Amino acid sequence: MKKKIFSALTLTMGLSLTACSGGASSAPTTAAGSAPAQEAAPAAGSEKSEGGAEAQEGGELVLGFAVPLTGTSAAGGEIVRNGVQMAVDEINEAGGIDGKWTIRLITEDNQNDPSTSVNVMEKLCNQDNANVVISSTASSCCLADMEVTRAARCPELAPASTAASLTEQGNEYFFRTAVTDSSNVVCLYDYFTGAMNGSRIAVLYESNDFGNGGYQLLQDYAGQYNVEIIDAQAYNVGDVDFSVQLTQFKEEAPDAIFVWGHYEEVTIMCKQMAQYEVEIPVMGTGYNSPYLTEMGGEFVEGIMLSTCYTTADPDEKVQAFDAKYTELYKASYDQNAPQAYDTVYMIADAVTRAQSIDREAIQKALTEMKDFDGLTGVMNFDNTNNVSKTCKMIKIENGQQVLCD
Amino acid sequence: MFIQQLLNGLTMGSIYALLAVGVSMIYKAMGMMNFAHGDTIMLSAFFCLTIYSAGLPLWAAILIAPFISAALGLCLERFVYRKLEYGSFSNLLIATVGVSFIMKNSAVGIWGAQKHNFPALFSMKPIHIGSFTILPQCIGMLAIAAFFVGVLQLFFYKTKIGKCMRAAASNAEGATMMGINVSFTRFLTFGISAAFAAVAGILMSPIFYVSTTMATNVATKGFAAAILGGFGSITGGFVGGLILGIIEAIGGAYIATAYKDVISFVVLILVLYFCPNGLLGKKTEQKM
Amino acid sequence: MALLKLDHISKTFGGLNAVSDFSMEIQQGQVCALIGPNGAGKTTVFNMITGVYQLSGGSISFDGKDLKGVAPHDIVKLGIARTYQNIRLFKKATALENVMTGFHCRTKANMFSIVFQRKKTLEEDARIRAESERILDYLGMLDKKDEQAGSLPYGHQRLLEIARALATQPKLLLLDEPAAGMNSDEKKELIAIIQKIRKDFDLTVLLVEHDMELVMNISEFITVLNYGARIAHGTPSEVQKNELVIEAYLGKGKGK
Repeated sequence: MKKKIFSALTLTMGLSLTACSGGASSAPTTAAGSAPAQEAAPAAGSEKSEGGAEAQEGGELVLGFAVPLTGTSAAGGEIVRNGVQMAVDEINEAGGIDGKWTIRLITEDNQNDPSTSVNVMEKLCNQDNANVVISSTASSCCLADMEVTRAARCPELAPASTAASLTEQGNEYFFRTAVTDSSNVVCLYDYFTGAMNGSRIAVLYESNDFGNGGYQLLQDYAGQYNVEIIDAQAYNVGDVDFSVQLTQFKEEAPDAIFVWGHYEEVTIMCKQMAQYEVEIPVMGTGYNSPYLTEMGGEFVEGIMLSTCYTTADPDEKVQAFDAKYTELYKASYDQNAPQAYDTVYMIADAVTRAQSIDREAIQKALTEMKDFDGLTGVMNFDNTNNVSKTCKMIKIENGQQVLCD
Repeated sequence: MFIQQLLNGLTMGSIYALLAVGVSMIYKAMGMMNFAHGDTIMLSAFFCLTIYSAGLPLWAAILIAPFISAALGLCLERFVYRKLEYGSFSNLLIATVGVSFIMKNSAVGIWGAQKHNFPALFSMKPIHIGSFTILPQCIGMLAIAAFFVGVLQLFFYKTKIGKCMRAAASNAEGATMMGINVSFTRFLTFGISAAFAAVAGILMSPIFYVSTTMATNVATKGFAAAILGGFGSITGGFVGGLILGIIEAIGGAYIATAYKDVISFVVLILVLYFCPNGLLGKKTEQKM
Repeated sequence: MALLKLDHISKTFGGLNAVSDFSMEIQQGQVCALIGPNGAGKTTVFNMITGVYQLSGGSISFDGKDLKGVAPHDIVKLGIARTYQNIRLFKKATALENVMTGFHCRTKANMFSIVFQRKKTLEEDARIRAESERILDYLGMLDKKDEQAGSLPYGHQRLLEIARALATQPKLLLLDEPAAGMNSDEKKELIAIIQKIRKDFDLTVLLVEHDMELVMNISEFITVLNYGARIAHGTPSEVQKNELVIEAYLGKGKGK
């Protein structure tokens, strides 16, 4: 009797597990339909984007979109999805890309899990025959699913993944549209050596890939800008005491403290700087969040940071996006939403220039993108398909973000 | 700079001291470790925050929260721990681990994973002694921790209830044969240690932000500090906490701040190698 | 009226009948023994008397009061004290402190009184200390009063257990194998002590023992248990001659 119950339980568990992963591929799709009208497989001969053998007269661009909608990263995934949805709807309402192609968005939940990501990508590329895909997910999942797109020769754009290794795989179909820290470093050093006329810095960074990567870049660019890094200290996420580092910096008196971290620790740092009377300007990146001012209060007054997107930017595109997002979704968002929005428009731009929705055509057009002006700066792809953006320096003044002048 | 770093170490040191005293107290009164101690601290901080956010003045929230915590501790003992076979040490230990999980996840369910600000309890202006800086919150917490060390020593060595607790922790059957109601002393112990956890939680809140993970890492350090000072000794816990804080600061300053945690635990192991009973523990050999 | 009356008590653990239909009476001032082969159920009976086990059947009354539902620590307050087969001393406390705990169940000292009624508390404390020293002295252990209980020689630890039990001011003293591990000199001393305390403290004593010489020497009445049931009761000489008893200890067919 016991054996039977045990086997029944095991069977039930096994079934429910398969049902769960099966469920991922039956996530809501925008339009139930047959295979797209266009041939997705690249025609071997038509490499030329303009006036190629298959001059396309319009129709449907199938945009595959893999994003975590359930699980621990669901909140972040939601923000990216909103950005994508906004852009897709806007374009379709305006008559489609260049007035010719409507976008059919197929969204799948990859649960931020590498193996699910692979399954999802296979479906999007090979079953739905997407012309181009957006993958928003942890870098570990991107590394997995980009093998699918590489084999399918389908362009993949990632608006939210920051690991350096993604663009080091030699995958020419993969484009990172999330701001990289090199852009931030350039922006910071420009402002520091320019408007602030500084030369000596101390660095306080998270002891993980993010922080270490940032510190490494600071060191790489230091010579170029004649910046001297007089001290650098790491800290662990979750630390609440920075007195050791701060009292040391106070004695060393750099012109600025560069911080590569998140708002949780940065707000505590600022509080302690006030307590220990460390009056050195703070700048850096990673802590752009509405919670910075909410948690930091008076202590983050005057803190500066580099970002690719801020609502303090008076640019009407940015203001319009902010107003519309807030109205549509009634929630706060981080820079991934505008980055995702920009990504969709980048695709539209590529298609317009290529006058084709061929995968190869789109891929080539993306590499040729020049000075695309989006919400998150003026953008170009470098030779490893990393996007470079012009970032902005902002300062916290009276609890608000304002552009530094 | 060395002295300054030493003083810096007292900031975290006072927190570790507070936690270690709580842990030692539980061991003294119960003969076991309560793995839900850190989570009780966290819940108490949330209680205080919720009362304060509801509009009551800060001092009222600070006074009420320990009572709610104590009630929680009492309920846990009465309805959860008592049901288990008290004879088995490991049953109770595992139960506290289970309670810890439940507390953590309930907290996330009720208050969310977000961090919350908590008003400062001490002045933000630093105190200057010569060329050195020390924070009022550090001195305040040290004073409070020391006060409780005194109160608890008095309680455990001079009052009947305290002595009954120690007897029950030492040998439960023997204590019963002395007319001590062991169930009741355990009941009280959970209540008192929960109230004490509330004090720790309230003091920690301005520094750590109130969040569901605020006490997780520090609780482990608190255990380590208690062991360092001599497990079961309340004064030992206090001293162990301070020393741990100082070691972290000095280690961080002169080796690398990213390795602060590693350094503390390496030192702990070294100390135990030479003094198995901790720094303040008596060097006794047990007769077999 | 009997001081302690066990009326058809029984105890089962799952399917095991540890004690069945056991009856016994002890009069005030007697020294009685409960004997039987290993596993007969003697310690179980003790546990039932002291409230550690709930009865599966029957009833126990002490000094006219039914002990049903009374918690172990309250039974102590009623006047039944007990020592254990394996020592249950507070090993890290001193001998004196161990004895003093026995008195504490009958005193009051809380946070309020140590602050506000300081003098009274100190007086009480001094009194308890003096009483405890007296007991230790009585048992010849005064010189060891400040030694850690856990480091005393085994024989002394057993005496200390008795001292501690006496501190609770009992009417009935249950001794669970008090002579275990003692040599013959120590056992002679033990017999003398039991007789002394019975007289000086006005006690009734019930002991469980395996050492037949000691049992026969000291007891007025002996009850014999085997497989949880009473098989004999009487004076030492009566029990010695009882065939069932001989059979139980030596096995069937091996007569005298």
